[in-house]
Amino acid sequence: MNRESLVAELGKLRQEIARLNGDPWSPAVERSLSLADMYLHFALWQLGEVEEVTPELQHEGGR
Amino acid sequence: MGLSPFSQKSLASKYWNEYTETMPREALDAIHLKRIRKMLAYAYERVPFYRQLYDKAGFKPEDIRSLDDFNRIVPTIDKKDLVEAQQVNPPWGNAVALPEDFCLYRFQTSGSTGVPLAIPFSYYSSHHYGEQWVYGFWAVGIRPQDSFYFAFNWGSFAGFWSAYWGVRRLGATVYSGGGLNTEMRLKQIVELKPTVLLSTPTYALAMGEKAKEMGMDLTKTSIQWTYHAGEPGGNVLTTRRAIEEAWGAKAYELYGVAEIGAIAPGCPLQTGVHLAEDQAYATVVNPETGTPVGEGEVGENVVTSYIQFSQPIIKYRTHDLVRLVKKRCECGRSWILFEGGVLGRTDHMINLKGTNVYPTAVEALLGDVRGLTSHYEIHVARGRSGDELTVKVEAQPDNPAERYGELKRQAEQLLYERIMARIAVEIQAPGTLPRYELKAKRFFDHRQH
Repeated sequence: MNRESLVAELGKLRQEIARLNGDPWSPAVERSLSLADMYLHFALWQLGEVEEVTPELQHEGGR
Repeated sequence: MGLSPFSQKSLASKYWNEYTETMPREALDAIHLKRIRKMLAYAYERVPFYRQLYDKAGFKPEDIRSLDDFNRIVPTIDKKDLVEAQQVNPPWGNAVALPEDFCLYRFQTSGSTGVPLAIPFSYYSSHHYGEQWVYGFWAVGIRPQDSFYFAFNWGSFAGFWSAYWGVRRLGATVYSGGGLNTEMRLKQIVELKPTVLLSTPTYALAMGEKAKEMGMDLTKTSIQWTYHAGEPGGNVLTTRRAIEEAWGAKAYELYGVAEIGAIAPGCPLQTGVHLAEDQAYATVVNPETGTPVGEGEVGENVVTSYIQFSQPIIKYRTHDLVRLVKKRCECGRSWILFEGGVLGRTDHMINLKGTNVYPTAVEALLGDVRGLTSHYEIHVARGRSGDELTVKVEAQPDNPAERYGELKRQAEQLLYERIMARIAVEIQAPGTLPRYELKAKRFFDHRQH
């Protein structure tokens, strides 16, 4: 897979996680999915991308 | 090979992230500009300290359209600015970007140059901070099947905590040397068989001394690499050689600044440290004028971090003196090299009758005198005709006191020939100077007293 395709796939995965966490199953599952999103952001960062500075702000109001 | 968290393809890679580590300069600079603009907007929006600073300077983040704009227009900040911001409204003042709930770690600087600076890290920042270490580990061949011994007491010193985050990220094993004295740590190393020692360079040497007292031969232990931070030494040739001889291992160094990150892991060729350019931007400037110095010249490192999300660091004066090399390194990395690591501090630079003297240069030369050790102190005082420098250095144990006069003569002559300045040397008996587990206090400035 080339870099551009990988970046696009990672973006789709983040959108999917955001959808799943829109209605959290439990605090435990919400946190796990948030961390999965954080690592996807990290992967995009390692590929030279960055949309927002930190994904943590998407969950402002609580850790 | 057994199970591994990495594929065979990844394990065979000589780079942790070849894409960024070998990226051409133009592409790296494009990423720098993109990330700088993001950080400027982030800081301006969320951090009153930066908003006030930039408003006063008369620009908005969107005015910065090139690296040249950034270098010319954006003002530098200093540690004292952040300390003052924190003192107004402790613990974080008006220099943080994230609500307190996101500041999961709280460290602080040692306070060796003034009031300690409180340092927050968010969870995500801690991952990035650890990542910088992994670049260095991977480059020298350390892999997940290796194991790290932390000769460190897990206090509020961010440096080795971040190394721990790196080891966790790499997926290697952690052995904690917390709460133990040197003798107990040495026994643990024999028992647990770690392959990597993490410590300050001076503590690695102190462990070597203790091992000799105990009749232990460290070259027979499982340690294959020693990795250092916290102070210069791992890139000072004579100190590195002393560590490598004591441990029978390869010694490397990472250059970090607690409030910024582990910004520059060691070059595998041991020529210096490479700035992790996907995570930070650096300019090297004349400390007095603030203008950039030419390639190969020594200047002060001014750093912008892309990974300090809690307390953003933008154009931060580190006061560390470095020599910038931009050409692609023989190790393959395009990331800039700070040749020889950190060469000294702007506040430790001494001018002896027109000659700039750096403590690390003195340290390197002392190691060339057979019979002297790496345990030394530098004292600077105001004399009648300017600054005067005295170096106290311990002799090796196998030197009788009658030889001290000859050692003094040799050391003073070598320092004069190489530095072209008169430096007094006082030879000390073995074990008379203090030993340190973390940063060694080497520099004593008596000029203000």
